[in-house]
Amino acid sequence: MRAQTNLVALVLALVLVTGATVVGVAVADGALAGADRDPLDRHAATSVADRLIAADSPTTVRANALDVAAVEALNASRVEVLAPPAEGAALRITLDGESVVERGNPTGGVTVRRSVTVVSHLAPVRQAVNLSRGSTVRVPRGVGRATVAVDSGENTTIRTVRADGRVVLYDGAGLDTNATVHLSRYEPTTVRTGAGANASGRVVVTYRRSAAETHTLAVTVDV
Amino acid sequence: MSRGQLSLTVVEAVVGVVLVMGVAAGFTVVSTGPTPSTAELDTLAHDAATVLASEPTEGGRDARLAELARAEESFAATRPSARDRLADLLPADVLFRVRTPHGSFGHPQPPTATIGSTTVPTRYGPVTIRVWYG
Repeated sequence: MRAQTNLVALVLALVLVTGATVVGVAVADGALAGADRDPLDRHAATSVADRLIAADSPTTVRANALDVAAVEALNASRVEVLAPPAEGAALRITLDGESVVERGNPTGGVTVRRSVTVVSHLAPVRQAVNLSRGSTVRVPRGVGRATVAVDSGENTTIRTVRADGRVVLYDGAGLDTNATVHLSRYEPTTVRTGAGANASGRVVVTYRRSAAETHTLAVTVDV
Repeated sequence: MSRGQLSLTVVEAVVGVVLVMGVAAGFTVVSTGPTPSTAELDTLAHDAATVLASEPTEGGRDARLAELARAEESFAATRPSARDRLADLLPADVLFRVRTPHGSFGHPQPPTATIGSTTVPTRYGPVTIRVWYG
């Protein structure tokens, strides 16, 4: 009787251990399959993409917004300066499939895709206001920076220039300047000078509107 | 030996199971961390949110993302342009869904897909962008 009990226990034990082994091997296989096989390539591609579209990169105007002139001037050595992990590697950078930088043949490399906009600047717009007739200039939405040139006439002292009520230029002795001011890009801005009723002179506001196109940036690096 | 006692073989087997499972658990713990596909989806969601958060809207006073979260009316007014912008921004094989305090829009989210997501706090509430391979 006792020998038969042992037999049942043995069968049960074998089933348990076999099942556990199968499950264990399956789990380990899944973990290995999911692991990153090309850590160096991936690291290099990620860092190239990251540095290209970072807010403080020389190729961007802000985060994820590439400057069209910088993109046209981009080449492999500039990419290396930006992202040292790509040094000496075969790399390809494309915007919506169109090649921007290509060096070597990075087949077998890792591709990283990012969503970006490419910002191109349109021709500068110059708006002048004669202070004897008016004192405000309206700057449209989407302009983050404008140059304000103040040229006050005789018997006129302009001390402040305001953008939507915020003082952007001030000189207690009277402004006679050509300065760049920062504006909000999200709404139209009114640039106003604190000129009186009988003022003379000119204020010229120069700004550039920009157009942003969306693209997919793909970086492939094979170290 | 009384009959109520556990057989020694079964005890040995249980010890063996614990051992094998321990080794398997070791594999999974060592190589955890997000798989590359989730990381890429998360980055794409983050990129889309960054662009939406730095773009002015027609007629609005704020960035597109903030306009979506501000009020019912601004949400309804911004939704079509935000949807077009996202469809342009993301690669063609990536679908999205956006959740704001005033409702969601985008593609219906599949229950089993690997999802990358990012949540951006705005001063009117959080906006979540989820993306997946469609």
